[in-house]
Amino acid sequence: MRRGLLGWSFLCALAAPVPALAQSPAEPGAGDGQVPRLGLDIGEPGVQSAPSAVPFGVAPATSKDSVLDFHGYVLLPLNMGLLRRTDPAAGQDGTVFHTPPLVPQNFRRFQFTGALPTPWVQLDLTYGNSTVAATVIFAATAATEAEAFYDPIRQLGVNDAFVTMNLSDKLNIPFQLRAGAMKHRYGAMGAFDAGRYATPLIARVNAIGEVATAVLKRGLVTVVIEEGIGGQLGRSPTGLPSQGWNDFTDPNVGASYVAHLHAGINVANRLQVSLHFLRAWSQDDQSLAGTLSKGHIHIFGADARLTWGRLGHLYVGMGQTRASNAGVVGGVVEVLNARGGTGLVSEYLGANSGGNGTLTTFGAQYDLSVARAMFGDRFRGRNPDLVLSLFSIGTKISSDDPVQDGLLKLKGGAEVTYTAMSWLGVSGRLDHVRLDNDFNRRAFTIYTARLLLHTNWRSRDEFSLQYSHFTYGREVQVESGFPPQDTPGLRPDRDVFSLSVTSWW
Amino acid sequence: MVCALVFAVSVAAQAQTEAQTPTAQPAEPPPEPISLPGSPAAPGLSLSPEAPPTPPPPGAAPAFGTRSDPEAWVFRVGGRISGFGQLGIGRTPSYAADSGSIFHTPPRVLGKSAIYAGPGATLNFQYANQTVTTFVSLEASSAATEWRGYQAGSLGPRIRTAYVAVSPAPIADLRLRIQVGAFSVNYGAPGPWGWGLFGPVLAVHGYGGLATGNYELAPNVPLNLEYGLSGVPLVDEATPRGTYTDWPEAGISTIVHHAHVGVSLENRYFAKLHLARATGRNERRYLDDITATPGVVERRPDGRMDVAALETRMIADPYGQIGITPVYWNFKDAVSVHDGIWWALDWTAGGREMTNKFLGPASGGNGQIAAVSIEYDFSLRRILLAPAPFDGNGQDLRVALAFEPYWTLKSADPNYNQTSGYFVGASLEHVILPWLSTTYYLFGESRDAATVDTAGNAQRGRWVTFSGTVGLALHSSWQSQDRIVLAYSRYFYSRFTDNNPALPLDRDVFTLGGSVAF
Repeated sequence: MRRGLLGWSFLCALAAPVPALAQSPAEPGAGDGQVPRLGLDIGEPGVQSAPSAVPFGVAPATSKDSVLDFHGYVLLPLNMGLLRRTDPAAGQDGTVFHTPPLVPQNFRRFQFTGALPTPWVQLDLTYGNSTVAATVIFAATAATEAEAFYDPIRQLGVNDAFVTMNLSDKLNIPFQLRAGAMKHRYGAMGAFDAGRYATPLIARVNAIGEVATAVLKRGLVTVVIEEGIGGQLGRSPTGLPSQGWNDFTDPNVGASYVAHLHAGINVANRLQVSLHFLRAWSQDDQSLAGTLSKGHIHIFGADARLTWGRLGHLYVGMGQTRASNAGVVGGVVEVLNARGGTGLVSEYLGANSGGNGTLTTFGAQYDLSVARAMFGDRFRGRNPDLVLSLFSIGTKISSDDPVQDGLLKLKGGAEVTYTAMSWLGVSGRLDHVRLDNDFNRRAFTIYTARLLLHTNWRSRDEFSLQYSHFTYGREVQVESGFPPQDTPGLRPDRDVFSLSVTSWW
Repeated sequence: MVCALVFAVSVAAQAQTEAQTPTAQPAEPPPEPISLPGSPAAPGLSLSPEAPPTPPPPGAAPAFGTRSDPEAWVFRVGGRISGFGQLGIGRTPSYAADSGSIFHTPPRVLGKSAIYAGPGATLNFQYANQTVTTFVSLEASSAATEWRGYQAGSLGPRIRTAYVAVSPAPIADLRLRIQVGAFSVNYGAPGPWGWGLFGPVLAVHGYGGLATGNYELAPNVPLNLEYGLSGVPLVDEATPRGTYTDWPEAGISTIVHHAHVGVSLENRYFAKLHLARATGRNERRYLDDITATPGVVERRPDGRMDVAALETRMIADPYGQIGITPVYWNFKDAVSVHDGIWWALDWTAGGREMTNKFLGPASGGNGQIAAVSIEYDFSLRRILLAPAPFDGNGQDLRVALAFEPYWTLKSADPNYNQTSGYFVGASLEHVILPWLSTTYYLFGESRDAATVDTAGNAQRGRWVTFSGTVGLALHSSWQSQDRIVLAYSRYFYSRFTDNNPALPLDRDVFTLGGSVAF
């Protein structure tokens, strides 16, 4: 055997040309041996490319030279709903598991509370300097490695791509101009995020366009003016079937645009009061019926936030959304996470509204750190703490659809988190949702308990073991099918276990 | 009241201690009214586009974009970029009047391919410090119409894997690691590194977690323990099947528990026991009705799929390493079990696919399968130079030999009961120059199988396919992970395998492409 191998090796060695041993390491200047190219390099982009040497790790906003900056965020849960079978057959266990759980928690609907984590992954890449920077954000609501099939609408790909220009030096006032495809959310109920409901109270704008922000400072007072105009990249081509791969598009929705104006005043970084106006509209003749579809959504909003050290953070706001033939307006705006006019019609105004109606929305959130309240700036987040949150959103519907007209939807909740050690915390949350305030049978309640693990005080990672118990009114329905639709008779899960992790950088 | 008092006292004590510490940092400046992550530029009135559309974590964990302490975080990008094309030389189908040359891309072949073809890229982003690692992989392929004639939507770009892992400081000789997120994990591959020629005998995927413990029983005798729980969401029966969804089969949600214990001696002898159970238990009755009995809506029982594998490996330097993994699968009504167990025998996913391929469609997912996966790997130069060391930088013949017989011990489908099969494979790379290798691959598969002919009659036979591949590989150094490959493969089939004269399988395949891993 060994002699055979030796013989094989000898033959192989014969096959090896002598130059193998005559190889010399590359000498300085060997780069001159680059192969000249006769065409454009494969990797050359269609536009002028960035310089090849890109430093990393410096925030573009603080760098004179162009640098690459990288941020990201992950929220990845395993959610398991448990349900007792009422009539198990032979070979069937009494308890079944559902992933995802059968619970009323559609992000696009008023029923959403955020009490259960849902997957979200994003990667933010920014290239630029203190004057100009380009940002591209990849995002997904699923990681395919954990899914049973590829759902294209959950892989958002390039979710945002925009250029930010800081013209403060040119204009001698803080001035920022953004252009590109991006989202802006007004009415963020949290101090740094969209709040416990992950729902901007006033509106969300999804448009390719521009947003300009100017700031005027006088002593402790700062005035912020912001305007934007944009539209969507396209519309559903007429004749395109409504299917899963195109997110069940509605071919009756026209090309849609949005213009918005905002003004805010900030006093000593403590109190900020803002006013908002948005107009989204569509006037498009590309419809199957060959008719001109005109519709619009007007949104008026006012909100205020108080950020006062020991007193915590308080946000209050209200908005009014006026819709006229809104069914033809696309997702260029979102109200309470309902996408465009079609979302407003299906969730709030009603199928027989003709897209006409009004939503009057109000909401508040209050966050308090007990340790900070007691010890002020001496507390820097590196000690045990008790964090309290109260939050609520309500919306009153006025609609041409008599079924929906006069409906008041309400939800409210409270959350208490005790961080006992640098690595350990516990949390409890209560959510109550009234899909129709007049009827208890259309309400449900979620009781949630969590065990939280971190790597340090204020670390940006958190592991969570969570149990949620749902109680339902008898007319609460859950969705099933593709596309998901309320399914009468389908029993929702009452118990949900979650194992999740979140981290950002 | 007492709790509040205790809480207040503990906070006060710690806050005072911190305030009195000479190294205490000055108080944080009050936060700006609106924070734009990574940018202290002019604030806006809206939430930053970079802020994710999710609720914040509960309690004290800072929301995205809040100020936090600078730490020694490291950013790393890795990945693999590849671009391979294949051309299959076809034969004239029976219905064709003329007999011209026929080319297929992708080739119409059956059996294992020596080279994983296809263009694509995987970028692995890691952001980590000594304790925490956050990992996200972004994957894409050439899916556009320019490259395929149609838009292959399921090829991305897509976020494929994402997780957060924590490795806390060791507790004496005990080291722990916890990983939570969306990922897959592989077990039981007999190869020295990674998957080996025929891959793992157990892979689990889904959303979930994995806890690992490592304890030093004695010097050079570590004990490894691992437990994982994962779940794969259901595929609704209304989900369309197509290229853009990657042809999914409807399936109910699947929960997988898996536990592992392993011990090694002097990093030369390894023994690991892998146990896993996938459960399909869901009252959504997508799979209940059996079409063979129209008019009757059956209540399909819950299903499960159990796996037990004993992975053993020995490194016998200089003679290479040998790995032997016997594995046993038990299926009970496994048609109800979706693909929480991602890979079993021959990269086959889930209870239903294992049923269709190895237990038989008429088995109802009931049966037992056993297999032994064996692989031997060695470097000829290492053997010849022993006892002198060889670091891989020189001429060499790198060899991997694998054999994996399997048996369907029991099946309710008479066409598959007591049947058997095997996989055989060999990979040889003769590294001639720092930039040149010749490669030789042999892969074969043979198994008892059954099919149904056009008249509806069951046909039993031996499903056999073998392929031999010779190729040239160019690379930048002796052990670099980059290469450009030109290869030719010849396929051989049994008559049972190549059984459709209207769609004859290709026999000759050319491959050209390159890849870089970094």
